[in-house]
Amino acid sequence: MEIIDFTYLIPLIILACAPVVSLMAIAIYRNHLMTFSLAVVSIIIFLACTIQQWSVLPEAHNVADLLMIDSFSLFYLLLLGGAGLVILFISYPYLCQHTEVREEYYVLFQTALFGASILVTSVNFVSLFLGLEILTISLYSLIAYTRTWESSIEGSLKYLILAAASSAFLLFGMALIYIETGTLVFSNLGQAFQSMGSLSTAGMAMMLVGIGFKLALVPFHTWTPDIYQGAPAPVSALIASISKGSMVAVLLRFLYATAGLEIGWLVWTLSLMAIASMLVGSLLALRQTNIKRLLAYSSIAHLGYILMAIIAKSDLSLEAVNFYLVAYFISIIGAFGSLSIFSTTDGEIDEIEDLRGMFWTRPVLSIIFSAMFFSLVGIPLTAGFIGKFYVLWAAINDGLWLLVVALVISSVIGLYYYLRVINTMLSPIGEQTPRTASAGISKMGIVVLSVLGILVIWFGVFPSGLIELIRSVSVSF
Amino acid sequence: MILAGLIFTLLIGGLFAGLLERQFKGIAKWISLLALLIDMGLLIRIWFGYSKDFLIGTSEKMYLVLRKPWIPEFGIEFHLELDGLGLVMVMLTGFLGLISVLVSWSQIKEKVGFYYLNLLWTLAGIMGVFLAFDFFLFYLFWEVMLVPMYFLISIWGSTNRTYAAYKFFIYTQLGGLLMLLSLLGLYFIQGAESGVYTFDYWKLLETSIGPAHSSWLMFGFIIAFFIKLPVLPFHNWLPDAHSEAPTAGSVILAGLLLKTGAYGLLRFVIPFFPEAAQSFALPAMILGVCGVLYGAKLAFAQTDIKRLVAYTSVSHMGFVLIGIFAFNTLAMQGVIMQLVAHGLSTGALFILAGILYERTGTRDLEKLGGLWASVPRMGAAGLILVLASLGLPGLANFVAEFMILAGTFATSKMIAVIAALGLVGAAIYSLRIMQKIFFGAEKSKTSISDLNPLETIIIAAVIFILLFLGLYPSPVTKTVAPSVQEIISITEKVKTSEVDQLLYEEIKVEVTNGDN
Repeated sequence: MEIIDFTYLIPLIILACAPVVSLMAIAIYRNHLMTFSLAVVSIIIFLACTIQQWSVLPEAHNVADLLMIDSFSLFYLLLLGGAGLVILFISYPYLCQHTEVREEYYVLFQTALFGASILVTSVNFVSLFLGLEILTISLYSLIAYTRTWESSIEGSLKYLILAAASSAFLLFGMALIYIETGTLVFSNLGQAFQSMGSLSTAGMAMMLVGIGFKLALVPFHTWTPDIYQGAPAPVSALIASISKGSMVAVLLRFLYATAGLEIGWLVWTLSLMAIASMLVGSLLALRQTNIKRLLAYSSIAHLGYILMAIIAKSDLSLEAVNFYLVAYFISIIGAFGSLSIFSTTDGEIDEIEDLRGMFWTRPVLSIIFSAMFFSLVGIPLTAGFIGKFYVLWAAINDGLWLLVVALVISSVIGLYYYLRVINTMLSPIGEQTPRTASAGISKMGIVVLSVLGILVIWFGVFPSGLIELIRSVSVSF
Repeated sequence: MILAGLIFTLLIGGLFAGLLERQFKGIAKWISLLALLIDMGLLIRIWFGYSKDFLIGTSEKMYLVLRKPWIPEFGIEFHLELDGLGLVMVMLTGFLGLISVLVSWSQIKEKVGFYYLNLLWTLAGIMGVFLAFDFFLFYLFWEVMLVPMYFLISIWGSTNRTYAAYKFFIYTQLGGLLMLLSLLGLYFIQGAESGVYTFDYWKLLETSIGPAHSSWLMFGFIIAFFIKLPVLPFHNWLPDAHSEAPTAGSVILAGLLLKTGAYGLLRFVIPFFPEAAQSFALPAMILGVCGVLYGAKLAFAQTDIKRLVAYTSVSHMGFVLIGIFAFNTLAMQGVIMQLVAHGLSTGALFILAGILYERTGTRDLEKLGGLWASVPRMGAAGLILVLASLGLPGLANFVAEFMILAGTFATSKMIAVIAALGLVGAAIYSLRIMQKIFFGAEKSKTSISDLNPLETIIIAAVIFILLFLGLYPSPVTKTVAPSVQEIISITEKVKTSEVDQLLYEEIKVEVTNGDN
């Protein structure tokens, strides 16, 4: 490590210091608003530094073969930081309503964000694993943060067991690859994979299990609905966006660095997982009555779409993945954010029936919520549509017709369950007043959600700016 | 700019109607009326300009063009154009839009602002579909017209509205996604060929698509448009959607949404895939004939007025399909005439059905009867509209169906003969409507009021146009003549090139024989 490396790592260092500062602040003076403000300020500084780096240092910089600061990682750091900021603003009113001990949430949140940031910059198995564990361990406690709710504890325990098992798979896979190739650096693995031995193959397969679990791809998806349902809504948003998004980034870099998409069986396996995720995610979502479970299944399908764009190996593929992720981040955080804002003091809104007639009692929020759903289903004039269009474009360009057909089928099924939610919101109010009407809705939440709503429409109508930004992103290793 | 004005007047009008209704009760309908009157004003101006400047010998293909860059990264432009075909369709949209606002005037009492927002946005989407000359934009408008329509059905529909709205949306979305795939396929083939990726209609038209690809790509478009039209195996959504939608919704569905399917076939499928379309002509015409007869048969079996009228649409749209795939000028002009005539007559029939339902509380034919005595004006209006729908000479529908059948007879006698049987079916179900509702024994004692002045004006205006075009159809046929000529010439070119190919091969054979 040299001095210059530190200047490149400033954003990460800020993120690493933030939880420590928060902890000390809590020890000195316990105050919810103050801790929240500290967290917000730290993320804003982080974002400012990242933007500054983006504008000054476009060329890639490798830090000790562990971390890579290039346009790709800076883009993802921005995305994670932005998502983190929004989720923080959603979490504040939520915590005010549902918990007594609120301050530590922000510490855990910051460590989770830090873990995700390490993941998106890593070019080495060691940093990959470290980042992943920092993220995952923070998530265990975040899921259980509303500890008086049984479902929350249950979700956390399930996540603990399954995530630990999947980490074990991942670690074992890495070890097997290391035995044969003798290196942990992605870019060196590329040459080693040219002549792939049986150990490497086995290692790669085991890593696929670990990655598949994190991304909730079929057949490693079974944890998702339980955990989304059990976790507090802002944490579900965190898992759906930041946790999955950072894993997508590291998968992309790994596959690009090792030329993994040249390996026939790997592409086939990934394709099958993508198809299965799209179809299973949509089909199982059909039967859900709980809206958080529904979103969980829909996120499984969405990761299938993203995987499909990853497999389509062309220049377009990277752009498509990045655009889709931005659109998906906005819509899924918006959807979970709306849910968490609707929550009443006696619990969350989570059954679809709870939303009945909401269009007539809470028109503004309902319109935002519907915009998010339209974006998730890919109706034109929303960011989700341009994202889906991009994915289809990349896939057709590479001739992946089977995957394209799966996407169409999955989208049509998807329409049905998204429409069901919107329909319930539109139906006339029944005898009892809807629970959404009684929810005390915070001004801050509405402002943040409106911003997301405007973004969803803006990127759907004028995507040029974002596309240009994304085109300047390239992966190095 | 005037073209964008047509669409944006409706979009902005809808937005204001939706937002202001909360503060100022009752303002939404006035705003909507104003927006549509502005549109009609613009359209009339375009119409006069068109018949004055354009029809008299210009070499331009298009009368009005608007191009603005939109998403240059994808080669997408905000690109609207207008020719005769587009003009007729947009005029129809403006007129039926005006009617649908007036029909809703006193009918809609709940969530008024949101209602007019959806109504105007659907109309804007439909106008966009008729004007867009960029494929991406076309797809966008195609979807924009669906979502508000879905809301119209699912909020203001009758009892079974949720089911009908789902069915409508999923059917059309499936078609839409298949179309998107074909569209992307076309985009890539063109891009790979020329190196410039664009969604521009004219540039894509220059693409030479191999026969293997073209039939696949064509089927993506065809399924989308067949679902919309609807053609026999895909017609299932239509009776539900039509019968559950509110009156204005039914008017727009029957009068305009179905027409977008026919328009798509004329504007995209035939020019882009002339060879594949010609080899698909016979199956398509057979499907059309089946639709004509099957629709008529099912219409006869219905007891719900709105369902009955919905099935007559299936039957009439069968004629449209036959006419399109007959590939000659007469039939194709008949098709456009049929689109206008059917849009007006069926729209008006749905309005009558809505009025009857409002007054009597039922749409069941078995519960109605002998109404002529109490509502003579409604009866007379019903009689004329029903006669129009069965194709009585003197009304526009007759002209249309006659042209289609005459044109088809030139290419395929058998099809024309069987399709003509549909007219017999039409006579039977149409007269049954009259018989059941207005004649026979009176079923209920409560007397109902006749058409009020506003309703009389609406229906009378429709009848006037039907009669006018029935006696003097040339305003429509003349206007669309250049567009039809253009479409026909593309198909002719293919035919002659096939002949050339055959000649060439014969010559080659001779030459090689000579060598030996």
